[in-house]
Amino acid sequence: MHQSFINFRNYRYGLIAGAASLLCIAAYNLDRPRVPPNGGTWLGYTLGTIAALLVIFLALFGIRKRSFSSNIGTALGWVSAHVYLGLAALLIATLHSGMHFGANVHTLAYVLMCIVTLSGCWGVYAYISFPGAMMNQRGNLRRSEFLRQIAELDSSALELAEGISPQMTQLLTECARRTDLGGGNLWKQLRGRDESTILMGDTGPARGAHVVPNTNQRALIQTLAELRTGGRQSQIALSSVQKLLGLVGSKAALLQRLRRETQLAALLRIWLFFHVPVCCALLAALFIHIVTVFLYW
Amino acid sequence: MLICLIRGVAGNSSATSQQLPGTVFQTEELTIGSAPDQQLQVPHEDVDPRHATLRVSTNGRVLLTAVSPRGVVVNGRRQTRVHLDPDDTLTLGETTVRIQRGRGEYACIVRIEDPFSADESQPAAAASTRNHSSRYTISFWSWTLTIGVAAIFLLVPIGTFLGPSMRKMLRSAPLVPSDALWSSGPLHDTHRFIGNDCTACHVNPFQPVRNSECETCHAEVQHHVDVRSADVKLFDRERCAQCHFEHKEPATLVLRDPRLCTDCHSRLDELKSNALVRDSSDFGSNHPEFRIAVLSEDQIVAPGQWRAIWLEASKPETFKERSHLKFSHEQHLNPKGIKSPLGDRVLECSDCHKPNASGREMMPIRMEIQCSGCHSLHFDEHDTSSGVPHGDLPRMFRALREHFSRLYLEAGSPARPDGGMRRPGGEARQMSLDEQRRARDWADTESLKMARELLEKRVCVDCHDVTHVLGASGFDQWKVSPVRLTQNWMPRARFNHATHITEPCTSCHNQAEHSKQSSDILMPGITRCRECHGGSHDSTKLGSDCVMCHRFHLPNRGRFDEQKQARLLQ
Repeated sequence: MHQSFINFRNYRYGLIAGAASLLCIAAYNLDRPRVPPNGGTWLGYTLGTIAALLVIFLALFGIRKRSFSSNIGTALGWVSAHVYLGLAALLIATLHSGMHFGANVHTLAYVLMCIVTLSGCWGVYAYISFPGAMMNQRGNLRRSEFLRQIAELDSSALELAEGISPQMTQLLTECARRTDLGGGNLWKQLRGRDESTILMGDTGPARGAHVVPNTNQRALIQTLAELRTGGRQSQIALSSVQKLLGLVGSKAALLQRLRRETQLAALLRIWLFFHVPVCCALLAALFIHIVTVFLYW
Repeated sequence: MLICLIRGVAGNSSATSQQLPGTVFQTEELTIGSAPDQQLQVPHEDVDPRHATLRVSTNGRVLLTAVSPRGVVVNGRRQTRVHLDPDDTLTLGETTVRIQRGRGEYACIVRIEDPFSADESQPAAAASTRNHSSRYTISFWSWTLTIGVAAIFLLVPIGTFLGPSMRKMLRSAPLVPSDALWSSGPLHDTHRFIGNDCTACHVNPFQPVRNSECETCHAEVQHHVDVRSADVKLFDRERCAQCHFEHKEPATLVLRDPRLCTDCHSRLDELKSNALVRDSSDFGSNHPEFRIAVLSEDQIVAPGQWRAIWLEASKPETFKERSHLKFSHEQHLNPKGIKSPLGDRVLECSDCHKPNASGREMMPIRMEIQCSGCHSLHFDEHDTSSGVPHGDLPRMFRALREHFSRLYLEAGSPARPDGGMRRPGGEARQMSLDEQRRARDWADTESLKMARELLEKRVCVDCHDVTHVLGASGFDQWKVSPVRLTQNWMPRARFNHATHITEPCTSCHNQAEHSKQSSDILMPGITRCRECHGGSHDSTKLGSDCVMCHRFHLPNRGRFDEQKQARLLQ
């Protein structure tokens, strides 16, 4: 059976986290403190200490995963422990709180922890489901091969265009340059909208060029189709245009797959923009929580 | 305005300019950026989607305005807004853009030198999913959030430790973070007036709140034990906050956990040698039978002094009230009624036992209020003014003598020598000495006779213990034992009649209808209470913790003041 961070060593960390959670729940239910359950009872201090140590351990994962040479456990084992113990940490922190919430730094730390855990859950979901979907989009091709294929299509198209007219060459050159390959900032990658454009009307100096949207190469295909049916072309040129249409269609299909793959890759990364910064804020809030609780004992 | 863009490959500009016609835009402002909708598109990580504009004025001057905060490198210097001269060079990523003087119909010619040729136009940058250009990276957000949290929740609030003026400023200014953000929960309603003045109680950082801070306001709170006794040492480590818990929800100022009491009260014998109170750990399962405090007259040491003595139902021979009152509840609660001035009357408990204003306790029984309606003190049924006062024998005798003296003086007295008849026309005259003595003797004799009747045969003796004083005569020969009715039977416990009003009186005082003696103690035992009240964790009955009936701070024990206690014990 394939070993993932979910079933790492027969769910070792899942079982550890589950057992720890059950133990804490049992302790919480069996404990009869003299005061309403809160973080200040002996069980409260114990659960709080466990949760704080877990948070620090979970944050250490951020360091461990960058230390490729580290021998402290395997990377897969760390991910597995990170996921399961992260879920347990939120549960233990909830028990530690005794369900008392308010507008204060203590609840802030808890809310930040919830955000970190929820974004982490999204990350788990993304890592389980998106790589498969990305494989489907790429069809076993590497990203660079995708780009190479597109570049090949572009250069084949340019070769054909040179046989038609200089204007066609320029049209296709600008079209290739202005093709949106799905990159750019993360928001753009996530939206996955094709913002390709094409320079049109650049045939005479008097008119001037203007930039026209070329979503899914539709504007280019339309222009080529009009040329084909225009009837003013020679037989050779017509067959070139016909071939060009085929090339542009293939490119459009490739682009769509590339864009979807880019979008999935972005979805695979976006949660880290919540997970990591909020985790850093959580560490700060946790420190302040611990200090201030004893500052005003 | 026509602007001509000519693209070429770096190092080969003249050749490409001939190969490819220029792109001509009819515009006054040329947009430059990495987005495909820009007129001059330069796909590169260092170029923003909308990076800059070139505005060409009618006189041929070219103004470069950077939209991107990163600016544009012009002739090697980063600029944000600059007028360009011919042959100025802009560097955008790896692309060089050269401005040329306008020729013919072109107001401006812009020559673009890409690092790659048109046929190898694979714009790797456009496909880049790495986000180098954005300043809003994960680490940017991490630092921003971390510093933000630290500033709002620690660095600014900690200013409250920098002095009173800073403290006041931070706490009073709206929307300024103060140490109130560290509060773990709201204060109890009774402490709300303290507001956000945390240091009113939390005086020393990193130390639990001390009792002395509580005593600033609660100076008169009494101790649990006599502060002059050695027992006070048992409490030297106790803190107010152990039982009075703040900043937690649900807001309960007095903690009700029985262990706060039973930690000591389940093992008092181990803690002190002369424990008067018996051990208890739970009302439902381990609580001693009630002891009843009954007023009793001291017969030996200080006769006439009354004090409470503790009685136990398990010792029936001593379980009696000695109030010196004769009273039968059974007789008064006779369902057929009891004789009254208005005929037979059926009495109910509430006819005599009335609750006080709060409804918690019963008002004391007073002869003048509860009894005199039926128990008249008139000794002459023909004379409505013939009553004697209650509770004072000398006054009673004086009243009797006044009554019979008046009778002698008035007409119709059978004791007068003239038979009490005054003839018509006869004049009133002064009594002779002899006559006066005779009148006094007669009044004394009649008063004594009436006193004997009242004290020994009817009225007084109905309710009171009347005894003869050995060797005494006249009015001194009788003694009426004083009556003291116990008012507070369980002074160490609190019972609220008002909250039990749905129950009939006899539901708890169930012996009342059959009690013939006033010495019968009609207080219910613990069994009766336990029919409804269970232990503190009882799920089938009303969970009853210690403080439901008992208090910690007891009256007249001395102030709960550590320093004072220490002084007293030395």
